[in-house]
Amino acid sequence: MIKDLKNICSPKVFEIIFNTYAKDVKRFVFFKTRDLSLTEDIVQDAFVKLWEGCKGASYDTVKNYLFTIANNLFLNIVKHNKVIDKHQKGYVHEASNESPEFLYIEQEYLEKLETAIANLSEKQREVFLLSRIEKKKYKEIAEQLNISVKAVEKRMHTAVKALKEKIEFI
Amino acid sequence: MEQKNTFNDTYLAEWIHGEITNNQLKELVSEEDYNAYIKLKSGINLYEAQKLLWTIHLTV
Repeated sequence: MIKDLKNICSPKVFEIIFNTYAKDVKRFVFFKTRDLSLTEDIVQDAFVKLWEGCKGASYDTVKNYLFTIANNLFLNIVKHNKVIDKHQKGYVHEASNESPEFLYIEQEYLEKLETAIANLSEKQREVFLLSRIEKKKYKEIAEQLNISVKAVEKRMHTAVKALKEKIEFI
Repeated sequence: MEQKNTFNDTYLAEWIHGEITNNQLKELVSEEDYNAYIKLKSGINLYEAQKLLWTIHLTV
């Protein structure tokens, strides 16, 4: 029970963490950037990265973890701005994951993903969303839909495969 | 690109759920598909996070 309350991958726990620390992280980042729009981007990215890495993050150290992520994101932007500055002065600009091109591609990819999810069959989409958005275990989904766990896994397997294929053709 | 082989028909469900590793997936699919699945997983994680942040209101 206590373990569940500390499971960062649980949407409810993640929401508590967000409501508890978002203002502190925002204040911390704004102190560095003095730019509200950039601050909000960094805070959002920090929570996205926490969500992506929720399995490896500890609830007890999540505050420090969030601040570290936010600080690293800020430093990456500073570094990137220096690279742009060098480029504008005639230095060679090496490609970076933080470049606007990368972000544009990722947003485009996410839009394709959203379309691909919408185009899944109803059975595939149902299992996919219950698993990925509602964070239900395959066993729980099986009980909810009154089908076997194996059937849930097959639907999820075909959903992932279909998403990959659909994204390639969108 | 066709996949190399499948020891079962649910391995992608196991992989996306973290029950088999990226390296194990790499043994099951072509390099091209592996790269596409890794990108897809990353995209799904971002999609989930954005949905969640939207739900709990980003504005702080």
